[in-house]
Amino acid sequence: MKMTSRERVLRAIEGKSVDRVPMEFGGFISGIVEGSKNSIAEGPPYGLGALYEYCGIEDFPEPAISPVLSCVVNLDERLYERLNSDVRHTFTGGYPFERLPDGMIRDMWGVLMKTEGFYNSVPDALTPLHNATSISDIADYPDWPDPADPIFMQGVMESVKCYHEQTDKAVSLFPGYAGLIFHQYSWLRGFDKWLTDMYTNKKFYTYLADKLTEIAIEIIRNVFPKVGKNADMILFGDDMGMQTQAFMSDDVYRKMVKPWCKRWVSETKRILPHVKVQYHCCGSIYALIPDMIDVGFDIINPMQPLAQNMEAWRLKKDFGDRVCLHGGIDIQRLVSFGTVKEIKHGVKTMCALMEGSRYILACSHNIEPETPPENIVAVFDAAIEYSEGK
Amino acid sequence: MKNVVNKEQVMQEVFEGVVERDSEAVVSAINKAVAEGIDPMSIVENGLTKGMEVVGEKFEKAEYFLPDLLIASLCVQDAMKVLKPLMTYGSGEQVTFVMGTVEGDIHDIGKNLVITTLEATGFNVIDLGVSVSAQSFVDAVKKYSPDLVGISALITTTMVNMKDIVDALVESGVRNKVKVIVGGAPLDEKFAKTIGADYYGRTVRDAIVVGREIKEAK
Repeated sequence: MKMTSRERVLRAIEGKSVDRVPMEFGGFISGIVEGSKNSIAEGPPYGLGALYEYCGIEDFPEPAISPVLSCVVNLDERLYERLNSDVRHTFTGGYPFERLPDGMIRDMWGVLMKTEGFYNSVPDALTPLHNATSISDIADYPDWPDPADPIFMQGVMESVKCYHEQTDKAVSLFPGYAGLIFHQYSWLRGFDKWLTDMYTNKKFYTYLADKLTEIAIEIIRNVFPKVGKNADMILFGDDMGMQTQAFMSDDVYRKMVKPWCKRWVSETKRILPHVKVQYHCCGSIYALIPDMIDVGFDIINPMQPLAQNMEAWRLKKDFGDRVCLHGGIDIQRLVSFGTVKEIKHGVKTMCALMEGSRYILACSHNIEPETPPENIVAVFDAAIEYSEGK
Repeated sequence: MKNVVNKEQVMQEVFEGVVERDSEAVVSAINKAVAEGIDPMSIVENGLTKGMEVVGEKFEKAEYFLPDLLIASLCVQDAMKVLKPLMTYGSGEQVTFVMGTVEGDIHDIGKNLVITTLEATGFNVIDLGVSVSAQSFVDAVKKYSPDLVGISALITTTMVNMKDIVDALVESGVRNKVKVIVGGAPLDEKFAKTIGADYYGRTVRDAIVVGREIKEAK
């Protein structure tokens, strides 16, 4: 029996049988990095323009980039359809970045960024709380946002309602700044000090993590009740791993990260009991996953397959019965540099491995701009071909 | 006899302080070591460097994590604040590095870890900071006459700028006066060769090995 996309996604998350593997393309962590309009003829970096062109969509909209990180927020419905994405993406609002005379960018939290290639990087030494030494330095910081600011609601209702009522797709909402507690910590304080504070400056760390969690929770208390049943999935993200290991031990994660994640997830589920919470966490995080499941996350993304101990078979064997796994199609090598034949083989192998599991197929992160468009299309076509027995 | 025991004990305290990532213990042990009349270079080599080596091994075995590495390196930095003014570098033998992150790249955690460890091993390091232009590298080579130029990059889009620095050293006629070592997550041996660098440093230890080679050749 053919299912709607929404049914397919929600059933897979709950471990029920599906008619084919659900797939996600787009959004904050399963989309494409660059919104440029480069064509195929111009060669790499191709950007979204080349993908639209390859898919025969010539009159595509000017790509709009989210004020939070570099993700495209207005993917054309025809592209979603062509790639058979079962998920549609919505975002909370935010003020546009301010361009400073020295070329730096400043966001609404006062975080300074520098554009490097296709990305905005946060220089640790220039983070606004890098030299803070006391709790009053945190409390007195002038750029804390007002959680009641209507900017966070901007565009949310229109998009979630539209996708919920006018399509049969699963609707994912990314609450932006309110869904990135520990990223916000490192952007305000510096990545290095985020990691060292949790060892050597625990009172300070606790106060800042509390402050960020309270702001995030206040924002979601304003936004989520209005969203109601229009959203099926909520995305929360923090990176805790590098290629070879997690940033911290499981013991430190349990004490210094988990409690704040748990507060956020509990509050989200109190407001929206039906919603599935997706956790994005890059890198080798195998050792932390049992605690992430305990936090209450329903979906763990991105199964970064080339990171240590993050192979799909291992994750399925050890966690597949307790949580929905999401991602797994490698963009570090396979999708970026592989041939169409290799990519299709890889995707079909994944489909076979994960058949009957709690699994949503997606690339292991946003697709890099150097990736040829035929490679991207091959990922999603291969999954459909697998379901058709080809 | 008592004196020998004290010296060994105090050196062990320096070593253990680094391994345990306890800055106060390290600095207190360093002060004791200095009071015992131990040569600062010996404190660096037998206390701090050995401690950092164990920290590095524990990191590779996943017994320690990134924060442990950062905190151990901060301990060494604190220790070096005490020791540096007391160290007399032999002018002819001292190996000097000029280090910086490539233009367009503002990441410095990796570079700073390398610098701290090099300093703790007794090398002289001039840190040019982040997003350093090719011209600034050339100027620094002319000003400080280093033995080595170390260039760091974290991302693929900025690592290509490393070649501009090597080219600028050639154009300004100072390339033959220095060796160039490059490092950073996206690099490999092949890339280092392609851009005309002399060495590729995958780990902190590689930089130390190269520095020691040059010291021996002096």
